[in-house]
Amino acid sequence: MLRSEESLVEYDFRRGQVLPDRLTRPAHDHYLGAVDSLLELYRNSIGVTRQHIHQRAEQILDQLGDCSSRRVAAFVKLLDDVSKYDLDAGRQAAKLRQQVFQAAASKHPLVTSASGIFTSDHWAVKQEIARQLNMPWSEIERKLFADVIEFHTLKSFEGYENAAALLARYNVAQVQACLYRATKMVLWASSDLKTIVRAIKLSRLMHLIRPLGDGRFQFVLGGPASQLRTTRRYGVAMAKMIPMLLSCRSWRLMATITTRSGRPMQLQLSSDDGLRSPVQPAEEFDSEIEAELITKWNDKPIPGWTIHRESELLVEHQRVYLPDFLVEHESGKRIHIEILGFWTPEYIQAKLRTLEMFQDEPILIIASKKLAQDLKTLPDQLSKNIIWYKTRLPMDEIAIRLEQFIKP
Amino acid sequence: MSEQVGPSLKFDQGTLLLSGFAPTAVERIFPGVPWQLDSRVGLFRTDARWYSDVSTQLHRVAGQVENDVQRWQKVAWSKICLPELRKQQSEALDALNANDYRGLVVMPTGTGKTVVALEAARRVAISTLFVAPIRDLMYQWHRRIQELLGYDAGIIGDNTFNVRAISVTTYDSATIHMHSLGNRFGLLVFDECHHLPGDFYRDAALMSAAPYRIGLTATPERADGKHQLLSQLIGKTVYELKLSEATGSLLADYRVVRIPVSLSPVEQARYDQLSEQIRTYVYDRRQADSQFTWEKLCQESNLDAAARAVMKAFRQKIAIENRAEEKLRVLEDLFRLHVGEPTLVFVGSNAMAREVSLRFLIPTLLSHCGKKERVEILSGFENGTYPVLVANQILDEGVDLPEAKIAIVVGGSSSTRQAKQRLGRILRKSTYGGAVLYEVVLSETGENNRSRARRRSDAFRGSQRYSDPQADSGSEEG
Repeated sequence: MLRSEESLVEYDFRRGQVLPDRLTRPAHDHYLGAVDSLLELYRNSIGVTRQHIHQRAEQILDQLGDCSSRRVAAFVKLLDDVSKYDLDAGRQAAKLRQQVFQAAASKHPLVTSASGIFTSDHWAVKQEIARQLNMPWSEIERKLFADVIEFHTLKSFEGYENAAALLARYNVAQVQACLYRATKMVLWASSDLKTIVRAIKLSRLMHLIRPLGDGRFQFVLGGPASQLRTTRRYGVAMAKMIPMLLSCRSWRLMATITTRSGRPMQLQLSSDDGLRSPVQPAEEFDSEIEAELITKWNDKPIPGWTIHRESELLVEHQRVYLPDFLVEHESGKRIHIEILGFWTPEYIQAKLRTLEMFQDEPILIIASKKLAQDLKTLPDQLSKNIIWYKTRLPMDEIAIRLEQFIKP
Repeated sequence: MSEQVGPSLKFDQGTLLLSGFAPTAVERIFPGVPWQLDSRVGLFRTDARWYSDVSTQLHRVAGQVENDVQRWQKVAWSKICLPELRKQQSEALDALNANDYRGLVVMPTGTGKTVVALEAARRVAISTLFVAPIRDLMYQWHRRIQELLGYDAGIIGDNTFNVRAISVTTYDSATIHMHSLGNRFGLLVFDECHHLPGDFYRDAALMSAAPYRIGLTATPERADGKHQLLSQLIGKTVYELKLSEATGSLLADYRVVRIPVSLSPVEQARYDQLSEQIRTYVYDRRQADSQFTWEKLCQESNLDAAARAVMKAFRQKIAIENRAEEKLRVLEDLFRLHVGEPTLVFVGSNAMAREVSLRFLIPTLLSHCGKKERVEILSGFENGTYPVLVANQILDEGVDLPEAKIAIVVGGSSSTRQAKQRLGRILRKSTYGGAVLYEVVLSETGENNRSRARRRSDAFRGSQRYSDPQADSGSEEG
């Protein structure tokens, strides 16, 4: 991730929009060559100081003619993020400084040329210290501040796949850096809701959710204090959601960014913007047993019913619940399926509380026999819809139970 | 989701959550408290900083409200070692006491604010968080708490998260963590509290439920006018000691000597070339746009190559100013002149600090120095092992330095606060008698103007033997 000082945006004051810096093809094709050189620079700079590498990087990017100092800083940060610098040399530096300064203290002041009462010629004193420490002065000079961050030397470079990958990473990083300043974020989504809800949970943001009736949901994201005042406090959490969000389909977001002069502007982003997610799309299934249901269903579908991998997001008093599957009868009747396999006791307890909240929904629970004890507390409305399994899913029984749901 | 239980008040991530009251009752019971109905949870919410008011109001109406906000505790001191209070310190404490340990104490640097805060903490004797601007100052508080209150305080910051009943932290860490610390401390002490009203840092006060709050500063006013917020975030100013009242009695007398230096011919040629480049560009732009400002140039430099080249030229000019060779020679002269007298050197950049350190082999305090090295350097200076110490901005604010007689400011920018605080350091009542502040500035450059601005600041006006700007130019006083 970038730091705020590497964030680069343009404001479209007429439309009230914030546009994070973005390098696109073909407009910025000339960056591919320079970025290639940057990758090569880092690969070939093992043992070189950070200061020197950064200077070289700046020279390379300067030749492009349109690479601002912030862009330079951002590229350098993204490259440093996948680099390891040697910190060992620095550990000796403090000790060396103490030795040198203590040895010189009684000679103060070190003068350019000795005369009168000032007998400590600075060059002579340095040579003497070098002898004492058994190290040439040039080496002492090189090592004396080796722990200063600019003087760290490059140890290894993990790199990016290619120039295009780094440019893609740059574009995402600029969107994220812009969001650090966000005071509010509204998200509209209609698919991959499981991943989106999980991303929100991981970000620890709070949300106000509103079903829009057409399969879309609106999430207003913020933190506890967002309700009380305009605060940027939760901007970083919003930025951290972006990689996971980019791996999802059919969403759009609008974030409020306040300019330095206090004017609120909008950052708009959607799944159609062509930003490449740095993370893999989430695993489709949480467990093998879920995958098994889909496989078995596909081998031998239950007549009259369709299974949807994308389940329906249920909302009750701002509590959200995503059952594992949704099955739909040709009559239009929809039944949710929840599979309860092996989980920690805490997870099961939390799941049971959620199920109780949503007990008015038609939910078919497919539970492992091992959970029989835990599920005893479920209200009748739910427990009458439990199917037990030992190792394999009883597809015939599932078919029978589903039919019972549509009986008048 | 509102669960139907009895009325309760909870701390939730830096805010208070109230349940079990009807909206009309909330308005009636808590006049002046800005409760907001949070539809995400179906409860009333407000900033934790209102806790003191809220808990008093709750007490009046109902004993039955479940209140689990307070997680702070009483503190029992074992080995108090506080010095006897000076007159001004005990006046400051009386003022704090009269306002229930809530308010600002404005005292010049070097007049013993730390002792005032530690004595207040001793008296209040509940969990206390000391908030300092930077890591060094945080460790300094840690040391003073150890010495004077005999308590090994917890550290929150510098990659450490060790919360104890008495803890020290930085504004950064306090702001980042206050959503989880806000119910753990009953007293907050904000050192150099003029930082607090910043957009980001104010959360350190807003998200805390602490009823007791003390702010310490020499200079409460801020250029952006936000110091008005301090009364909400901490409390009103309860005690103010003017610099003029302190000079001479608590602070040593001092004298300012300015030494102009010139650039070497090579430096000068490069400097003139850069100046010309900037002048030409700005002139051309002004022809086309009379409103063209430096600020505009800074903005454009992000996207425009020509503007960027000018910015670069400007930075190179500053670098020449900061690192002129002649300055090293002047330093040598001053070191010769004041041999045997503890001397502090302030420079304009880390690179210059290292250059001075390397030339004279004197210790420098920079951000890369670990805690151990800092302690070694500072105690070495204190006990006379190290005659001179060189530093960059790291010592700009409030870092306690041992007594020094000579301060040399090489380059650096002007602002009231910096000037006051830099001066404060050598103003510290010293056994050496009259202190001297040298300013080593380039003649004929922008730096000279910055120096004039610095001299105009009221910190300098407060000096009793302020040497005339015209009279001292070019002279070295012995």
